[in-house]
Amino acid sequence: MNAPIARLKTAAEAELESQFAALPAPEAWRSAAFARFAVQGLPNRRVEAWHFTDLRAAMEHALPLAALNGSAPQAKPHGFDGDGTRLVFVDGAFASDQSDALPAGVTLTRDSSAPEAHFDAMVTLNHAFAQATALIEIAPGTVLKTPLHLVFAQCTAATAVFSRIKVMVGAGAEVTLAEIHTGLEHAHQINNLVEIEIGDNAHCKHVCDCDAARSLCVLGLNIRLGHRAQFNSFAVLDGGQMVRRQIFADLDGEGADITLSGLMLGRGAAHLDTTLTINHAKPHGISREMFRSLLDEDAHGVYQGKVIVKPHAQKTDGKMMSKAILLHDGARMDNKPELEIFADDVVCGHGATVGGLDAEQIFYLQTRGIPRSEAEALLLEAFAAEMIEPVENESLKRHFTQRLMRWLQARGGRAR
Amino acid sequence: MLKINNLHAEIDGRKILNGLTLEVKAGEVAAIMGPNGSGKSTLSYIIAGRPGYEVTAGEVLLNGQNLLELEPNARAAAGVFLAFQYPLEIPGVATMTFLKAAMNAQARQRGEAELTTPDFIKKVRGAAKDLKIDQEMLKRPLNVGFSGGEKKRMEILQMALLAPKFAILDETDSGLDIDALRVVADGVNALRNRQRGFLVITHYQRLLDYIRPDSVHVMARGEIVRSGGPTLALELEKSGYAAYADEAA
Repeated sequence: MNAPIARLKTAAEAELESQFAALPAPEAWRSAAFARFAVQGLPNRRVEAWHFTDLRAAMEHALPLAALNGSAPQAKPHGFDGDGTRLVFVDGAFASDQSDALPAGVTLTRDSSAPEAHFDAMVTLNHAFAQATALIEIAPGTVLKTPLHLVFAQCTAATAVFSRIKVMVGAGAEVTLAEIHTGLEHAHQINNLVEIEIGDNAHCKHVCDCDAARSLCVLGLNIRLGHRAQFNSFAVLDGGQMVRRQIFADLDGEGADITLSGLMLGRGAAHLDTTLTINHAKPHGISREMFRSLLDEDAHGVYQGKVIVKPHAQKTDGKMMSKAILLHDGARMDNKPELEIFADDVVCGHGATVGGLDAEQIFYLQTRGIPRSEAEALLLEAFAAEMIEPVENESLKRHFTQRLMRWLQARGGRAR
Repeated sequence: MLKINNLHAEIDGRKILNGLTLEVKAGEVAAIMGPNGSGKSTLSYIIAGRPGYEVTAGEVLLNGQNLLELEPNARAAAGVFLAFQYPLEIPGVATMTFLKAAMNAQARQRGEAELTTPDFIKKVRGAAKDLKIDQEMLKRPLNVGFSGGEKKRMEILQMALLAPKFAILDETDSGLDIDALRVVADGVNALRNRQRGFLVITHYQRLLDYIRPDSVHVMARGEIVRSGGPTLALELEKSGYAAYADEAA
């Protein structure tokens, strides 16, 4: 009667197990990570944080691992015409021959140290499988005028890619990181993890660009902020079979300041999920989360935001807002904002809206001669462009604006 | 110019217009006055094409063309303009972007050439100056954070730029102080000419001191119950609408 109940493994879980068993001599901590994953299994609707994104149901099979050999195929250019230093990761491995020289104050090394164990099954799975982890260190006080582009280029069709990057932003440094995911049109399974540690008084800006096309993507972002450190992130998620972006942020220093924003553009059968946890552990922290979604056809959007304010984190100032516009009867949005406040002197608020376009606004624009489709496009562009507007780097802002316009034009060209 | 024949309309099964008939000739400024709930605003919305109303009988003709068959934007391109009682705020759309989209959309629908950007800017600047509209305001999102007076001036600016054949002013005086009222009225008067017709909807006579009508019509219970010259407005100011409410009841 006391025998442990063996969980029934899905085909994908069994495949992951045999793939891991076939890895040549993984470090002990990676084996331990896989063992922890095996207990949890693929996240499914019974796991609260994955309730709306049932990965176990969506992932019928685990695709074969992309080979991590030295003969990396040439990555496709990622479309940014702007300034910056390109660091290219092909099928998960750093491709120095395709990357630019590192600017002064920045180093990139291979990191095989054990990461801290994580409660999330997919982060744990990443720890188990991701090889050749890159550690990017930005020396204290370094101010980078142009962005570092972290280009994750997938080149081998129908493979699984696990990649992990750690960025250490030294005290007082200032840097912009552009996380770019490309080559996802050939049905990949991506489990990508970016960890950023931001030292005291350092400022880190971050953008994430993911046109998931036909792939299933889990994009993790783990952030730790020091004393008066700032982190500001903007992401565009678009397309894909299923995209889960999950952010775990620890505000570990007094006066740490984090802004997370993003745009989800869904159509077809896309499933786009942004889930984040902000942990205010010290006083005077500031957090802002602002997300907007445009969902057309049968797209499903998910926003889950949890802001935790620990007992000592007095004077925390937190605001969270998720707004979605549904453009079709088949589209759906699940919003789940949560506050867990254990301190008594804080200002926190959240809001969420889901609706169609405002019929009064459309009528008003029409009475000025603007046809309905054009009026809708104007309103949608305005709704989404407000999110892009704060991006400071001009070439990144242009890139995101063009992405948005292409998405809107593709919509406008179809009969409804 | 504008002919409304036996117009019946309802919303959610409730009758609002009951056989309204009215003609406004080119060059004429017709005022419609009436108590609250008489259907004045509904009339303006139906002419402009707001969804939600069901026209059960009648027609609205602009120079012989039945407006009720057209989408709201096509009515605008045909020459109808409605100055809203409560202009909508459009967050994220800069006023200049909106004005250009509107002018170009109308030009396209009429098969005319779009304005070049320098011509457009010149036109807007000139019209804005006449209405004492600050250049900064034109860069802001349309009507967002504008005061009541600023919104009404913005409506008149749009009217000046779109140069409609027929304009409806729905309670344009509401929420305006006397100085703002003068600016708005001057803007309207500057657009009066022999070709253009106006329908001025107002609850109070005050606006008609500044925009002098050629004819005044009293609306009650969804129809025109009395028509007359400008002096009718003065009479109403003294007697109020009580007589018409009773008459219609």
